[in-house]
Amino acid sequence: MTAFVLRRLAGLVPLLLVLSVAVFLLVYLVPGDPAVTIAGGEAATPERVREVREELGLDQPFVVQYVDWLGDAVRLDFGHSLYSGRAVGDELRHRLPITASLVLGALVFALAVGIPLGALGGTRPGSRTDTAVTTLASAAIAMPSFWLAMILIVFFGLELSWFPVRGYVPFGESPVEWLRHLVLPSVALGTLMAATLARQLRGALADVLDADYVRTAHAKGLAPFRVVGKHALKNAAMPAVTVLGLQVGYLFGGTVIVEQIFAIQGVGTYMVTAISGQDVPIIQGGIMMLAVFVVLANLAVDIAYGFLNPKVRVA
Amino acid sequence: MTAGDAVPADAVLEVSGLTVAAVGRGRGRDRDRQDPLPLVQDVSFRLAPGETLGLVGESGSGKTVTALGIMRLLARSLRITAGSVRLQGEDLVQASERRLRAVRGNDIAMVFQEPMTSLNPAFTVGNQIAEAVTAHTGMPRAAAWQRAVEVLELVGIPRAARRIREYPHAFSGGMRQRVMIAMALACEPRVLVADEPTTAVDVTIQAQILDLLRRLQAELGMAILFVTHDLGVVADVCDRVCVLYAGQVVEQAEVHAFFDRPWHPYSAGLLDAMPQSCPPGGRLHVVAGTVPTPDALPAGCRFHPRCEHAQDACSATDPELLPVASGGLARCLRQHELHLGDGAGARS
Amino acid sequence: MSRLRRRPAVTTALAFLVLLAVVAVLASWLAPFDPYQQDLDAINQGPSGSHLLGTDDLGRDVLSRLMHGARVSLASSVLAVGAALVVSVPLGLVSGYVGGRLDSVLMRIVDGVQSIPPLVMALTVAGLLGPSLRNIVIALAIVFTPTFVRLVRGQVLAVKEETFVEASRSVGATGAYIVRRRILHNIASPLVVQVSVTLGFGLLAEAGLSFLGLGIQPPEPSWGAMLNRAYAYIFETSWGLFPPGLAIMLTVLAFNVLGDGLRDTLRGGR
Repeated sequence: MTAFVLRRLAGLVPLLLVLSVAVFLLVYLVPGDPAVTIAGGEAATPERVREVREELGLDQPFVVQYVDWLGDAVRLDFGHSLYSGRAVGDELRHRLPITASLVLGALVFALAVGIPLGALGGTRPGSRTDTAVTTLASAAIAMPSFWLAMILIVFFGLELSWFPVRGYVPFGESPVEWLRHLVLPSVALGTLMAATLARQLRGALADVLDADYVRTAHAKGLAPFRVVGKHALKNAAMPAVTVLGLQVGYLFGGTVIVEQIFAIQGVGTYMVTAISGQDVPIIQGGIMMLAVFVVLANLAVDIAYGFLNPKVRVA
Repeated sequence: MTAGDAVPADAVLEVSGLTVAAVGRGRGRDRDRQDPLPLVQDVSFRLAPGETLGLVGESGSGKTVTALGIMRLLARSLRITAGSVRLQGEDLVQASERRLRAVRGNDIAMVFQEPMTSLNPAFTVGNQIAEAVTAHTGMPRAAAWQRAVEVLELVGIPRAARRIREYPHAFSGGMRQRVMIAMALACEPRVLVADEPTTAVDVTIQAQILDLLRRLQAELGMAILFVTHDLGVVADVCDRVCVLYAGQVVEQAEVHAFFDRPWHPYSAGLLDAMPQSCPPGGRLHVVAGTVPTPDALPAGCRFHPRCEHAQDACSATDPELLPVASGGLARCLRQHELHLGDGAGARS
Repeated sequence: MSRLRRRPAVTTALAFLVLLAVVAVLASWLAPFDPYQQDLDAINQGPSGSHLLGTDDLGRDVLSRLMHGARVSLASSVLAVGAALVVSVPLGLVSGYVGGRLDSVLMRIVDGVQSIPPLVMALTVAGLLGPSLRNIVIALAIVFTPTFVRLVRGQVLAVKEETFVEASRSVGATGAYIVRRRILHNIASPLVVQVSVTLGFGLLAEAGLSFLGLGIQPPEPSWGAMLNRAYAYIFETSWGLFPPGLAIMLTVLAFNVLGDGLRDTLRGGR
């Protein structure tokens, strides 16, 4: 098992490198000369443009720029915002726990709702419960997360006033308020994952429960709870976990929109503002950070899969 | 029904009039819409302690359904509509789910046909055997694992103490079948139901597994219900034979008597079809036609369309299962007239 | 095709999508009002006799904007998927067929790109290039390409193994011709399924982009932008959220149901 984990970790390095190149290259999509844009656009004087170019190192050859950037990035120094001048790394570090809380909340919601629903449908395939679960899940998958967020705000926030609809309260300040502020955004963000998980688990369970080894478990006289909870679930979890890995990317992407709607000052809103203003260093740093988390999350999923499926560990 | 059945009264397993039917699609609203379609009808036999009964038939004869019915492990779309299954006097058909769980794996255990898929790939072999032990006894985990090692050694798996931590995919087909048998024996059941345990393995392994079963039976005094389509195997391990055709018992006999002289044309056909019955260079005898499906049963005797000895009466009357001179039972209108078998079918 | 007819959910979805496409194309003729026509006396109204789905914050008819918006939203998704296919099918074929170094390098790149959350990628590309239909299409195409490339490549690899085994058993030579035919036959079904699902996702992504102001710019109607405007007024009326939101949801649902149905029927055939 340890060898398996180490091998996976080693495989990360080339991936991260490729990632960094991709992220760095993204920036060159900007039409026109960034130096000109920053210096003030049309009104910029040639001297000012030259100054900016030197400051930002834009006159260096491409590879040198990349290596410089990478060297700094590894130390979590992503440069400074083109507009505010504030260190990107610092700002990201400050906002990270906020976004992390949101992602965690969504994950918890997705597992807490998705697994029971999936199990409910999977153990009664073809029944009315099953049809209800599948229909509900399909509808939830088709829903835009930001629309769901808005509906939740209107209903639970404005009509019923159960939960606040804006902002974030740090855990240190007030655990209760931290939780209350996270409920609606977590539900909005986590619903897609919950629905996908429910569908996957339901399908996998329905298949697994037909398997020969489940019949053997019954033949041994095991209680139904054990047969489903131990024998069936571990095997059904495999395809479900794989799908979960694919979903992580959507989760991180979704924070961007959800934070915007709930006015939560996390990495997402930071990115949106930066993209609107074409604030390159922030974009690079933010994407890099998000992507690294996606990669780490996928690694965790890989390891979890290796734990579930002993045949994979040897490979 | 049981007159002429040469078995002492202390049967450990007694199946009486067992009828299993398919009741609609088994899911959702259609469950009880159609009339139940009998797959197995009025099956009866007894099993004494330490005895091996061979349940024989082609695919589609209903032998697996019977075996699953005895264990109450039928698929959702099937149901026992009549009869009783008495294990040491207790009727399993009437028993509650809770009682059944206590009995399965403990007093009566089953070994399935497909060793490759009958073990859970996600758990170690030891885990799966120990689980059966802890489910039925109060043994602590360590003791249960020790028992697992014992029982793996019993079935002849080398280096059992080490292999117990391995996963099923590390074992070959024959080994997996042994593991299945070990798992079934872990709680020392009185009855073992073996559903074609050697069909999915090759011939050399088959011989080993049959040896194993014989040895275990001698050591443990277990009764075995051996479901198979292979008469060669029956000759090898069984004490008595019960032949199924299209869901009905057509003959029951003690094994030597059976191979010496069958009393039902179908049994005769099966015996003649054995490769061992065929002289070298001759053509293999076949029983022409196929087993009828439950929804398209012929009128009268179910075997008559394929029977060499059929007469007009056979298509009009349903024969009953009646005693024959040798002490067994047969379901044939002409059983007293026909003289089947040629004595050459006798195997030791 | 006849097998599909047996599943009412799938045929309904297909019918819905066809209807939607027709509406999108013929919007200019079918819409009751001019989608740009403002009526400041009648802002943020609910459904009424003249305005079946109400009006937005500038008094424009929601139904008409919805119909025109269908055009933009569907077009961006369809074009993006088309562009992605044009790039990824040859790329996947070559990568799978040639294998070796080229394949590993390409797969590493695909891995890297796929690690970037899809929405963030689309946002960044669209945001940096400047908001317009063309740029949304490019952004989404970039997001979709890795998945299609993997799919095509996977099928090619599967066929390669099959035919290798076949060839080693058969007496005659298995030419490149047969390999090509097998591959094309193999990729068709999973690709069709993936396309259907991706069209739905593209719609969601475009809506998200437009909602954030990085997509189709006003006064051009698009479902995402309509939601944006409606959101600003939720303290007064929440009605505005429903027409565009439900439109998106039903369309994506239709694509998903269609994809599921195709997967189930095509699996049997192949």
